[in-house]
Formats: sequence, structure tokens, C-alpha cells
Amino acid sequence: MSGLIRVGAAEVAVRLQALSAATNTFVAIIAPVLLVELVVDEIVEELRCRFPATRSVPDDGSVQPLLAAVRDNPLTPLVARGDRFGAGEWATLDRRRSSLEREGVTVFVATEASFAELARSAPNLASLFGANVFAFDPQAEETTAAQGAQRLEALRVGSGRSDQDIIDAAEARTLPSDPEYGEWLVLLGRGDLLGGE
Amino acid sequence: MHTDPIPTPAAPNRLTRFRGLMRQLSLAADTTRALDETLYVSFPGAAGAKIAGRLELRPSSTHLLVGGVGSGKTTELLEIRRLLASSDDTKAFYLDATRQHDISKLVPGAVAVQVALEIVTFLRALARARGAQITAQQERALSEVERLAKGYWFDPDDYDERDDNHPLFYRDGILVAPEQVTGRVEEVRDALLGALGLAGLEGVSYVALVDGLDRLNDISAFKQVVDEDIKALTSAGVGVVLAGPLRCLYRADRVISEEFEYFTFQPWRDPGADAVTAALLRDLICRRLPADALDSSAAEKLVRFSGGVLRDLIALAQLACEEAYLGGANTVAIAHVDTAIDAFGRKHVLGLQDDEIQILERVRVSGSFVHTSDKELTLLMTRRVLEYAEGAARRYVVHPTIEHLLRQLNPEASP
Amino acid sequence: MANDLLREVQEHSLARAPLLGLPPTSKALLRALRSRLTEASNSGEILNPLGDVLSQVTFRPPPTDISAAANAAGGRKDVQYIFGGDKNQARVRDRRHFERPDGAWFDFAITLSESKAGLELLAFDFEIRFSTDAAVPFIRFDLNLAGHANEAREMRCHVHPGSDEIQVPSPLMSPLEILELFIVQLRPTRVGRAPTGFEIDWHRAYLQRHAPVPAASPAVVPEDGAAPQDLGETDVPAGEGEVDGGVES
Repeated sequence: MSGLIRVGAAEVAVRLQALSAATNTFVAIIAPVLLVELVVDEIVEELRCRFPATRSVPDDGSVQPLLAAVRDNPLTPLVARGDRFGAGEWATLDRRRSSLEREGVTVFVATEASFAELARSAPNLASLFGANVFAFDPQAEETTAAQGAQRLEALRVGSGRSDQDIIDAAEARTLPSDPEYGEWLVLLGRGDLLGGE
Repeated sequence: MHTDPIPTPAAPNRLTRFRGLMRQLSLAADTTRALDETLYVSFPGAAGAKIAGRLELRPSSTHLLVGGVGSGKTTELLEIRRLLASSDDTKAFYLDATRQHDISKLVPGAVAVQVALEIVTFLRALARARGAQITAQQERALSEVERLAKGYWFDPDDYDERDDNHPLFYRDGILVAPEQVTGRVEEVRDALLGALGLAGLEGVSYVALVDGLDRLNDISAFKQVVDEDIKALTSAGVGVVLAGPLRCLYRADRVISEEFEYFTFQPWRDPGADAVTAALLRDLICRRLPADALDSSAAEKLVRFSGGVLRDLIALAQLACEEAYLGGANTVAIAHVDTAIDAFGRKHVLGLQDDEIQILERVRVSGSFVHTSDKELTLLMTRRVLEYAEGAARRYVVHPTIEHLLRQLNPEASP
Repeated sequence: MANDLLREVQEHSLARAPLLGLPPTSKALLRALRSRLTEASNSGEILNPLGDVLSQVTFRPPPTDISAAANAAGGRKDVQYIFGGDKNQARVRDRRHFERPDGAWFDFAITLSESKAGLELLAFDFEIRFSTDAAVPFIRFDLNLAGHANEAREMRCHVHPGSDEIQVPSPLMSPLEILELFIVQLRPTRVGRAPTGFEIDWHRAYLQRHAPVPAASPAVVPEDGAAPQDLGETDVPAGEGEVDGGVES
């Protein structure tokens, strides 16, 4: 997505922990349209680990909930959807930029198209994002295929056994109880062999 | 037998340190606070000092201040306030005209009455501080401004206190949160004159530093403010410094600047072409990040790639700081700045259309830029194209952070 | 009788399960582990930068592609894991891990089951390796898989005190508790105690038996208990499946 820095929700929270010391701070997270709501929820959950009062802004497609939330929460991090804002909404926020100014940080989750519209219609507000525009990576916190492969290879070499040996042993209920065998089965997608309820 | 673990020396907390650095890297001035003089760097011919100097000689003069987004107009207005603060006979007020009024619904009087309200608030506070009693006549004068601003009930005919059914009519206030307003600039001026005529305050001049209207896209609305409100204020003897939209510089909108006695353009300054600018920008960023937090070569690169745009300089420094924080470094180094430059540039080109890319490429390769269309003007407003003033001449470049990205899109063109 | 004793010890150990205070979801546990490591990075308790913490603490949600056979067998469908660092049975430093300023380094793996009833620990291993300031090369906390026939003999919840072969019963601890031990507590309690002659001879014999090398200059142990002279570097080939000077697990 345009080569922006890719971040997961955890990295957003870590960055904001330092960044939020600056005032009038705005951050944009660019996400595919179908993931926007999920991304808002994840970012709110992560931010709450560090800023327990973090709030998401109710969304009705207009700017009013955001303006109200900013007015009522001068310090609290706010996470708002910006994917449904068009030229009119962004232009309104640009004019009302002074009303958005506060000590707390404001995170917008937007699509690439809606952020491009922000840049066109709200140049003043857009300039306040600085370089804090990131692409959301939904798999940032998941074990990569390469990492999984490394672990599987280490298990094979370490035990001198094959994946099929392990599956057969699990099915025969003769698998050793060492924790790495549970990990092995889960990495193979056979956590079901860890025993029923 | 001793069982406590051997203590390890406490390391300074990195989060605390980097939060301290970030505190110095806010992208917008906090207008509720006095300007932090330790962070302010005065450029040669800076607007703030120039305008303040003129106001000291002629407090009721009018000034139009124009500059790009993030050029530091608000900071210069606050600097004017700071410079005039020591004057006994000039009182300067900073106000953001967008805070109390929806500027998409500008009507005659909306700006003038906000200025008048500031003055009235000051006069009330002054009377309280002096322990002075406000006379009924003075109270009427002060209240008139407030009523004009916020609205009031009135009876068009003489009020008959014996008649409970006597109708009252409501006159809308000028300030608008929702829809309907009426412009009544002359009434504002008259009310203001009444308030200014309070005994004991002769010889004090007032200057309004009006911010926020530079965000107006509707240039005719801005012209109306100039034609009506500014004229009303100056006829009441109030000096005005108005931050105006960049459009005032271009095409037919240039005539607006002729309505003011003084016009100040705050241009971008090219650190690549002007060593004094480069040194001052470097000074600006080094005041915010101490020597042990910012590598010298990193500071130079930040300055170079800011293109002279103050806000972008701080934005690049901010992200470079984040990268240093995440990467475990205690000092912002070139690698962190490189990441920040690339990230900023990619954000800056997000959503550009093919014809816009072509315009930018033409600017990059040949420096040629003719802002005849709205599209071209938007590229200027959004700082994808930077305009440097060199005397009467103008020079155009693409923002330094997008140069390498444009080159990637068109590698066959000359560098 | 010995089995009854171990069984009682194990039951006592596992009885702590409801008191562990596990968060309700694996995501929440992941966040808590990551938060503690982030804090440790910022305070200098670990040397890893924040970027490392973010990339090294990962999880895998339950797979969505459960085979029909697995479904029919009624096996667990909700198993997930959390990893901290790479799999490192060879104990080589070039695998990703977390490191303390005193040279100790560690990694971990946790297998979990998440359901409406909450989060259940199915298995974990947390291993920390020490510099020669400590008397043991590593300590590993294991929670074995449940329901195995040998449970009476092997403690499900145990510690390996520097040996993959020896297990010592341990209380059931939560991942956050063990992480705290690794970051803060598990350190030599005193400095500079010289090894006894027994320990030196034992280590020599162990190395000679499992990884014979050309004879190095013998250490001289002063009778007054002062620190011995260096034994000299041993050149033990290491790779996947082999532990430096040790037996594969």
C-alpha cells in the first residue's frame, strides 16, 4: 500500500507512548475498507494497555461525534474512523482545526482514498499528521511462515523425527509429553490431536 | 545465607527520555500559552519583528500576513503579541476567528465582533484589577458588544411594563453555531467605540492579531471580511494583523492585499540555496533536540529535506525520533532520518493522480510551474510544490521528500 | 509409594491453576507479555530494542482449516500459541532471543487453549541461559502436556536445573510470573564463589565423556578457595540438534 511504514496495533501503541508527549498530535492508520472497524477496535484495545481511558469515537459518518469527543476529552487518546469522510467533512474539520487542538493524541483510521481526500480538502489538518501516516499490517503480530518453518525444522533436527512420526504418535497416544511436541502439532495445524475435552 | 539477587545499576528510562524529546516537537504552536522564546528562531526579515515594529509606530495600521501551510504564521502572530507586551500604550490580542464562529458561514461583522469581545473582556478584567466601579453608562457600552455577539431579546416598540402580553422580539446574535446570522458591522463598530470611550483608558491603542482565516477556501468570503469587518475595526482605531489565505498571492485575488496598508509574505526559504537559512533551521531543530539526542549529520539532512518548511522539519524530526526510540538508539542518526524522509514522502504523494504527477515531474526536471488551474494551486497549497521567493523572482521545486519517489516513477528523465 | 508422593506433589502444584490470574484471552496474555518486555526494554532490564520486542513476541491464532477427520475425532479446535524468540534447542546465540545486561538470555513458547470458560495453559517452556557468572548453564521451566501415561513418573510441571535429564518438581506458575523471574529475579545471589574440586572434576569428566577434546591445561584450584585459573576455551562443535557440550534433548 504505497510503501508506507507497516504497523500492527501493538506498534501503534508503542509509538504513541512516546509521541503523545507532543501536543496537537494526529496519526493516520491506512487500512482496507473492510478492516477499518476491526482496526479501530484493535488499536483501542492496545492503547488501553498504556492509556486506560482511550476511547473510540462513535461513528455516524459526520464530524460531529469527533468534535464532541475532542471537546469533552482534552487529554484522552481518541481513535476515530475517517473512512467515510469525504471532501465536505474534511473541509469542515480543516476549518475547525482549532477545535481539534488538544493535548491528547487523535488517531484516524482511514482508507487510502479517504486520506487522499483529506490531503486535498484539508491541507492545514493534513500538515499536522506530519510523517505519522502508517499502513496497517493485520499480520504484524502473527508468527510468519518463515518463523514457523524455522521452528519446525529445529524440532525435526532436535528430535531426529519427522512430522508424520509425530502425528502418528499423537494418534496412537504415544507422543511424549514434552511441551515442544504440543508446539509441533500446533505448528502443523493439528492442535486437535492434543486431546479432546 | 544472602539470597537477594545482585543488584544491577539502574539505566535511565528510555520512554521518559523520548517523551521529553517529543514534548519539544509539537507540530503546531499552542496558542493558549505564551510563545516559548527558547524555541523561537528569528529569521532575517521575519514577519513578526517587522510588523511589530510598524505597529509600535502606527498602532492602528492594517497588515495582511500570508504564507503557506506550516510556514509559521501563528508563531509570528504570537511573536508580535510577545514583542508588544512590553508596550504601555498598545494592547495586542491574539484571536483565532474560527473558534467562536463557523467560518463557512462568514457574515459581515463576525470577525469585528470577536475582536470587540476580546477588547470588552480585557476592559472588564482591567476594571476588576483596578477595583474600579463600572458605571451604568459604561456597562451599557460593554454589554452592547456582548449582546451583538451572542444575541438578545428586544422589543421594537417602547416597553410597557403594565402589559404582560406585550410581545418581545428576538434579535439573533451575529456569531453562529447553527444557521442564521445577520451582518451588522456598523452596530459593532458603534458599540466598540462606546466601550473604548471608557474614562481612564485614553491613549491605549488596541491591535487585533486575527488567525484562522487563512483556512478559507472561499476567497470572496475572505474579501467580505476585509471589506466590512477590517474597515469597521480600523475606523474604530483598532490595528489589525490578519493571517490570510495563500490564494491572496495569486491571480485576481491579489487585489485583496491592496486593501491593507502593509502586506507581508512569509515565503519558504530554501536551506539548500541559502546558508543563513540552513543555519537558522539547524539552530531551530537543535534547540528542540539536544546534542546528545541528534547527530550532527542527521540534523543537516533533516534541514535539507524539510525544504525550509518549518512544520515539515519538525515532522521529519518527530518520526526520526520515533525510529530511534523503536530501534534502541539514544541518538537520532542518519538511518532514522532516511526512514522519516521516505515515510513523509510516501505520505505526501498518497492519492496523487496521473496529471498531478506529470505536473510535479515537470517541476522536478525543469523547475517550470505555472499555477493557472485549481489543481496546480492545490499542489502549492499542499506543499507538494514549494515556491521560493528570490527578490521579485520565484523559483519552484518539488518537496525534497518526494523527489526520489518521482525519480523512481520516471527514471529516464534527467535528474 | 514414591509414585504416590510425586502424584501428591504434582496435584499440589497443579492446584494453583485457578490462582494464576490468567487473562481471559490469548490476545490479552500476548499483550501483557509484550507490555512487560516493552517496559523491560525501556528500563534497560533487557538489551533488546522495542522493535525486537514487537517482532519477537508473536502468536498464532487457531487454524481455520481443521480437517474433517479432526472434527470427527472431536479434538481441540481452539489451540493457539505464543512465542517469544526463536526455537533454539541448540542454544546458539544467533537465534532470536531476549538478553539481559548481565549476559543471561532467554526465549519461551506457550501453548494455550481459549474457550468461553477462559484461557487454559496446555504447555510451555521458558528457558534462560546464563553467563559463567552463574553456576549452571541454563534453567528451563516446563509445563508438559497433560493426560500422558507417564505422568506419575515425570512431573508435568517441573524445572530443569541446567540439565535436560534432571527434572525438579516446581509450582505451576503463569507465563507472566516466569517472565518476571527471568527479567528480574533469576540471577546469581552472590559473586565469586570458587567452584569446589568436586564441581571442577565433575565438569571435566562430563565434557570428556560427551564432547572429548584435546587435553587443555589443567586448572589449579588453590586450597584457600580463591578463584581458579581459567581452564581455557573448549572447542565444541555445535549445530542444530546438538547442545554445546551437552546431549540433545
